[in-house]
Amino acid sequence: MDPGREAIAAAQFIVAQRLSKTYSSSRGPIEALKDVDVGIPRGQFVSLVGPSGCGKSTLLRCIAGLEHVTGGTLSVDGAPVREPPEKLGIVFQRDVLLDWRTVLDNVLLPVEFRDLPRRDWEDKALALLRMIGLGEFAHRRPYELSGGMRQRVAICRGLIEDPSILLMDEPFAALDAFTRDELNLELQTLWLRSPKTVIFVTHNIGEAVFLGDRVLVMARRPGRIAADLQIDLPRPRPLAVRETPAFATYAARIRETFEALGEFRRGS
Amino acid sequence: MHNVKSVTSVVGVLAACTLLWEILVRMLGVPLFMLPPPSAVAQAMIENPHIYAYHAVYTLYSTLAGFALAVVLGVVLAVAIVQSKFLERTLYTVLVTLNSVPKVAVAPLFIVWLGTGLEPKIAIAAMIAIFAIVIDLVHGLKSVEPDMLDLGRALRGSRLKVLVKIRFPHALPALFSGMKVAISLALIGAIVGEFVAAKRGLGYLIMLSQGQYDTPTMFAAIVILALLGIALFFLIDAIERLVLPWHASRRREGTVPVTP
Repeated sequence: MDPGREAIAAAQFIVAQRLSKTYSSSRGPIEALKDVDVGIPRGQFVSLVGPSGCGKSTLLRCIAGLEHVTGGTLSVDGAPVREPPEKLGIVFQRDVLLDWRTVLDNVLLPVEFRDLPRRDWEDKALALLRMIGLGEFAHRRPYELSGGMRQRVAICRGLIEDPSILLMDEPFAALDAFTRDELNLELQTLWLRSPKTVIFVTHNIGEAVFLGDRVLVMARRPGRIAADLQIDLPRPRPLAVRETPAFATYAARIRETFEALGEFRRGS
Repeated sequence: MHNVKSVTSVVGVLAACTLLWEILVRMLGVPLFMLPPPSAVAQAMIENPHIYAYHAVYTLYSTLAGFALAVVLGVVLAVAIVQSKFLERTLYTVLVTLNSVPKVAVAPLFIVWLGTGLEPKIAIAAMIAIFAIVIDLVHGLKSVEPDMLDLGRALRGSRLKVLVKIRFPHALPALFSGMKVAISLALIGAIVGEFVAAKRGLGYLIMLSQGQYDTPTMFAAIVILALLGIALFFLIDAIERLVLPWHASRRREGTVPVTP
């Protein structure tokens, strides 16, 4: 590798080089990811957008240490990923709250998993819940909450340890449009208060642009990065930013990338 | 409320059937040793309550002891099966296969091995009850959402942590539904044990009264057994409500998780 590239790689927090992930199936190998080269600096909010089957969730799961790469390298903070990195927050499409625990106990689950003293973290958990408007629900159980509230709790659980990386796998895909807008705004507020490296997987172009400092556009068969866009919209971004020409230009460029790749064709 | 209404109608139907039984037996002049009227059964109970209490306590004891043994062994087996692919392939397959063997047929063996005291009754009750516990609990432990297990892995949790904090609590409703079946099975096991060889217990009382053509006593013992079975079932149900309020209220409202 040439020295210039190595220097750039060293400055990055998450680095994938010629990363490949191949699954074996009964109909032969499936290339979920092929030759992914990407460097993500510390504190960047990166949206991964693409159609289903483009490997965006697989890439996220590789960074989470939940899947092993089959080719190339992947490192977080200079260390190759072989298991889930320390101080990792993760939020899935399903909130996966534990029904038998109160909201507060759900948020404190990561703390319990690491055998840290609960007492020291309770105030932090309550502060997070208050910040996201769930202060008075701390002692309720998940089944008493709506889908949007449950997902807010899941985000608090992801943030409790102040992780250096927050991985979000289509966290708002199952929510209605209004709740989704609310949560987009709240996520931005939380991130601005304590910027951490966020990888946000979505299949919604608007959401990707609204939230991201950068959007990685992914293509399928094989899964790869087709375009890499910096989103230079000032923060905090109000919902109205979506009606600005600059926003529309970004969204159009992403859509055009997909069109050039042959997406959206079947309907026309 | 729905519950009160359904209880009232159940009691009503039972009362009507009992009344019909009484009238038909009297009208048709059925001999007492063939089919006693409900009044004769009630009379048998009222005349000698201490006898029934004496036998019922014994049966209740072996049922509860057998049930407890089945729960403890069942939980250990289910956890072991879920934690080990090897045990799942071998032990679990054997258990599921053995479950289709009529276990009552094995009961006389336990008398040979353990004598005619309390031990074989407890063992038979446990043997019959354990399958329901193991099969339901294994299912519960395995039906944890993959995302939930990924969460546990992402938190760098040990297998023990994932078992204690995620898998086992998640499987508690399944364990309780297994226990509700198992408690009735344990009662059957205790009675079977008493049928084969015993000196005490409601099963023994039924066999003894049969020899004497004392049909009212047989019926009385059967009624007490039925009441015992119902009471034990609702006892487990009540414990479930107490231990798993989150599960009970979800069922009551008929709501399932909101997220698709």
